[in-house]
Amino acid sequence: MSRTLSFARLDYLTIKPYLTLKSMTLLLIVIAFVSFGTGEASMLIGMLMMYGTIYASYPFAVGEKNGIDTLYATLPLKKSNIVAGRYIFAIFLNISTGAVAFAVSAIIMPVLREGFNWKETLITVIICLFIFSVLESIQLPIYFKFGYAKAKFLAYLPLAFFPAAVITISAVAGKENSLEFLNNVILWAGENVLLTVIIAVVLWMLLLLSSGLLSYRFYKDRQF
Amino acid sequence: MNNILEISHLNKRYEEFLLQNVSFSVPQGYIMGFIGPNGAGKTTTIKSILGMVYPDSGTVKILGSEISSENTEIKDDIGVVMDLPFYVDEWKIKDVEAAVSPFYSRWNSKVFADFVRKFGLIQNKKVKELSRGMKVKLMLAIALSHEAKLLILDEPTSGLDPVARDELMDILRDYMLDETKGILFSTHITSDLEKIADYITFIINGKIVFTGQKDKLLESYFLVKGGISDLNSLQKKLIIGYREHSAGFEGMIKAENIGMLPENIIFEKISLDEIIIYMNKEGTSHE
Amino acid sequence: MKIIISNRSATPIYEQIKEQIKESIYSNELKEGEMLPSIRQLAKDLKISVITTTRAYNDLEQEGLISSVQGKGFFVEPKNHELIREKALCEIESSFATAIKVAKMALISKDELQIIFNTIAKEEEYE
Repeated sequence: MSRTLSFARLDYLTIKPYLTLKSMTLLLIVIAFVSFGTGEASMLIGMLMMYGTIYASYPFAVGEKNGIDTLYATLPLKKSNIVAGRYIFAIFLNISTGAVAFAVSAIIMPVLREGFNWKETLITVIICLFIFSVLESIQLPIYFKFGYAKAKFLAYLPLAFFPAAVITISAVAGKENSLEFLNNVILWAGENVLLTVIIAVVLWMLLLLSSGLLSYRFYKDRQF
Repeated sequence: MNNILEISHLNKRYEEFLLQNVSFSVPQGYIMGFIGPNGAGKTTTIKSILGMVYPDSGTVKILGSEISSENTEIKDDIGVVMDLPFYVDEWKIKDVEAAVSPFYSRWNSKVFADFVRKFGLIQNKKVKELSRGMKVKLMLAIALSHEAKLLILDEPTSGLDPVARDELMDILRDYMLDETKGILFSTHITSDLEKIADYITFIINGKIVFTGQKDKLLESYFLVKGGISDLNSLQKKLIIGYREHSAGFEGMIKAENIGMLPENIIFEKISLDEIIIYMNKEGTSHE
Repeated sequence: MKIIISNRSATPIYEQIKEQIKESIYSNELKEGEMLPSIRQLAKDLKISVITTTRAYNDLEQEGLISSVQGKGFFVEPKNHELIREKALCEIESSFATAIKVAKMALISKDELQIIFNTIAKEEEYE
């Protein structure tokens, strides 16, 4: 386990040089632009966490450019340490950008609108966390299989499917039956908060676990 | 005598290249030179040792334990130096240490700091700002700071000037004062090995053509030169890598065959480089 | 002890080391019981391989000039005066034989040769 965590830290060190003042400033400008333009907390949170997801692919990009797989091969590291470490790094990145997004909303929203609804914001952050986890669960195995350069295009395809998925879901939801079903689900969730949270967490973990296992299978066979 | 590294019957097929039944060992306490022309299979062999490529068959044992993608504990005992660094370009030297040190059970920061100072590296410099020689020294400093028992060097001198190469050799000699250590030193610049190596493994076209004591290799061949008419056709066949030019012939001969040639032929001591050249000529002329 | 290695010499390196250590022992520069540098240290200092150095030391040991003490190193053996005398006589004989051979070829008489011997002996203060 400690090797896996050390590897997650190595991933952080890999992208650290790219967390520069310049890129952070750029990020701030984007935040300012989005928040003043839309006044919507959810847009702001989505944008910020999107950044987190992009950074989650940086260890692949930066590593490949620098031949870092050779470094991994010189260290007492199992391939399972590498895969698990990278997932931990990605999750850590998502959660910390989520926390930042929450904090930024708490600061900016009262200025833009009359108030800050922390409950609503928290739910938005969690939903975003879920969505981006799904995206990463698809992306990481692709990167592990093909490497960054080859997979770059492929890995961003799911992103293009998102709007399509949203449209499909809303179309389905538009029908009366499903609307009723959805309402029931929301109602049930409202009544059983704890159970809902547990189910959500379990689903989230299952998703990451199966994605991780797939990544490991791909990466194990990879030669350099 | 214990072997620090033992490679047996390694086979690996690529589309355009075949590693065939590669076997050799590095005895504890000695330096093994791994030589051969570019593309002969040196790097593929080293990548197999490190688990970066999976051989189709064969085993690699380091200090008696077999290496695989999930058995990597033994890498705690290995230091690796390549011709190009495998660290993030933007890392400073202290970042490199921070990145790798947690993985080694015997990492010694003080030793590393001493090497950094001794090698004239500067902690705040980025990897990409280092000269070729400095990059090699950085890899070496990492390799020497966790009490590695086996050093694996893949073409470490290819981009270095003579002064930097000499410094590297001195560091390796220091390392070898401890008789429990061992070095596998792959290079196509054989002058580096001419003096320092105890053993030589020689690979051509994916096959091992010699592995054993360097002195024995150098004693078992001679350089021959003479006039074209000096040899009959049978004698010519004894010459390895026989080549004729306007004023005579030259080639290499096995020491035991010297007596079969006429007395007016000139015999000279051979170098590793010349052995590679003539063996390679012979290898390609048979195809 | 002084050892100088020539990489360009036709004599193998281990042979060069051997001869020079021998000379140091004969000339009493290396005294009985004195410790020689370790194989690895000498290999490092001379910039040669460990095996080459080992070979030189092993040969010297076989000839009875040095001995190894397990875990400690190599030491100069007590001098065998008989052996040294034997070896010296051998060398003298062969040098004289060469001198006589050359003299014969150049038609130099035995008396003349004797005179040369005496002159050199005087010059070298050998009485």
